[in-house]
Amino acid sequence: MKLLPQSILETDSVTKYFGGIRALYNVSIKVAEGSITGIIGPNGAGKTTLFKIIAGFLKPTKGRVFFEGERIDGKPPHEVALRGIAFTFQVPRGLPKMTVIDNIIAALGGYWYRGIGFIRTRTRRNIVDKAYTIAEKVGLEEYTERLAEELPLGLQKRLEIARALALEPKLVMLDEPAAGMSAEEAEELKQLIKSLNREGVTIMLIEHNVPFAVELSDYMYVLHYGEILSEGKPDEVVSDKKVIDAYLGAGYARG
Amino acid sequence: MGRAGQVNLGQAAFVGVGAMTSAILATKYNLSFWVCLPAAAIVSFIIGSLIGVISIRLRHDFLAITTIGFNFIVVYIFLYYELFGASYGIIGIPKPLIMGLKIRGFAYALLSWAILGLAILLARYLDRSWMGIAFESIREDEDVSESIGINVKKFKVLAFAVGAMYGGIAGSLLAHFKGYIVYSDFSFPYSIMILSMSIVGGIDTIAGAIAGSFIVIMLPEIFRPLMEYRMIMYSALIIVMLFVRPQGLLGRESIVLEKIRAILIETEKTR
Repeated sequence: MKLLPQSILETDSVTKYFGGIRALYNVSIKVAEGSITGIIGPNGAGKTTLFKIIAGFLKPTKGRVFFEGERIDGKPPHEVALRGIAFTFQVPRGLPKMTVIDNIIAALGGYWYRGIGFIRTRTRRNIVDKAYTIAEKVGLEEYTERLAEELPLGLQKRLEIARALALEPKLVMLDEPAAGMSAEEAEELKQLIKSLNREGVTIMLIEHNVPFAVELSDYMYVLHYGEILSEGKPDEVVSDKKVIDAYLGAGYARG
Repeated sequence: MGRAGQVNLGQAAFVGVGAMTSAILATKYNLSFWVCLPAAAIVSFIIGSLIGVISIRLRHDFLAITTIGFNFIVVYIFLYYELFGASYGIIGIPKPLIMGLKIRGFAYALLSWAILGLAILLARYLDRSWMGIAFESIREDEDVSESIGINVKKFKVLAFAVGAMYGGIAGSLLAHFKGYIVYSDFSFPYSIMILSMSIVGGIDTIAGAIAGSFIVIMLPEIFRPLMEYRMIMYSALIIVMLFVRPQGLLGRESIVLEKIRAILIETEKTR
C-alpha cells in the first residue's frame, strides 16, 4: 500500500448517541492532505452525522477530532469554518432571498466577522472582484444577479461549492454532491471537484453514487450501522467481500 | 427591527431607557443635552445587548413574548423607583442649547431631523458593512451562516443592541422635547404603535421605517375625532396590512417602489 502523506484531519474513536440510538461507534478516520477521501455507506450509516461532528454542528458523545493537529471537537461551527473547513449541505441550502453574488460575498467575510472588523464596508472593489472570480470558477458567472432560490438544483449545488470556496478552505466536505443530478451534470461536477483538488484543496466526499465516488477517491471508507466496515483504495474496497455482502450486493461486483 | 429576523415587541422600553437616562443626567447632574444624547444611546445599547444575550436561544414568537415581558418590567421599574420619578415622573428636563440659545418649537424639529438624518446615514452604512450582510444572512438561514464563518450569536445580540440604541436616541429626543416624562409614556401600547409603523412602512427597510412613522403619526392627526379609538386603529392597521401587503408599503418587493422604478424606466425609454 502506498504510504499516505501527512493527514490534515483525523477522528479518534468518535462515537455519537442520539438518546438511545447509536449513530456512530468508534469511528477513526484519517484524511491525507491533498487527497480526495470518499465515504460511502447505506442510508442511516452515520455519514452525515460524521460530517456534522467535524463541522462543529454536533458534539461527539465520545472521541476527538483533530484538524492540522489541533482539537476542534466542541468548537462552534463558525470557528471551524474560519480554520479552513468548508462543507456543503446534502439538500442545497442557500441564502434564498439574496443574490448569487451576495451569497458568495457573505462567505468571503470570514476575516472581517472577527473582532470589530464587521463595521468595515463590504462593497470594496477587490472583495466584489474576488466574488466574481469565484462565481466564474464554478460556472455561475451568468447568474450572479439572480436570487439564490431561483436557481435550478444543479446550479444551487454549484453555489454551495462557491460559498465553500470563498472561505479559502483547506478541506472541503461535500455531502452527496451528485444526488439528484443528471449524468451530464454529474460529469461536470466531477471535473470541478478534480480541478479544485489539483489546486491543493483536500476533499471529503459522501456519496450514494458508488461509481462516482470510486472514480474520484484516492482512499475510501465504508460506514455501516455507524461503524467502519472497510477502508482502503477504492478498487480494494468495492471488491471487499464484507462490503459486497453488506452494502453493494452481488450485482455490483459482476457489473 | 427586522434586519436579522428578530422581532422586538418591547421597543418602547428602550425608548424609555434612553429617555430616563437623558432625563436623570440632565436634571440631577445638570449635564447638557449633547452629553445626555450619546449617554442615552450607549446605555440603551448596553441594556439591549444584555437582553439580547438573555434571549439568544429564543426565536420568533417566544422572543416576541419575552420582549413584551421586558417592556412591562421596565415600566414597573420606572414606576416603583424614586430615581425614575416613580408615579410623578421627571419634570424640568431642559431644552438643548446651541451657543446659549434654547432650541424649541420648529428649531427642535430641525434638530430632530438632523439627528434622524445622521441615524439614517449610520443605518445605511451599517447595511453596507459586513455586519449588514451578516444580519441578512442570519435572517435567511442560521446554519448556513455558521457554516460560512458568521458567529450567529454575536450578531444576533448586536442586532438587538443596535435596535435598542436607536430606541434610546429617540427616547432622549422625546425627553428633552417634552421636558416631562413619566413611566406610562413607555408602556406596551407605544410598542404596538412602533410595531404598526414598521409593518405599515415595511419591515426590514430604512425607507419603510420612516414612511411608516409618518403615516402612523399623521393618521390620528387627520382623523382627530377618532382619537379615542387610536389603539383600535393601530391594531386594525396591522391586521389589514398583514393580510393585504405583509412586506409593507416600502418593504422589499414593494409595489410602490416597483411602480416608481417602472415609471423611471419608461421615461428613460421615451427620451
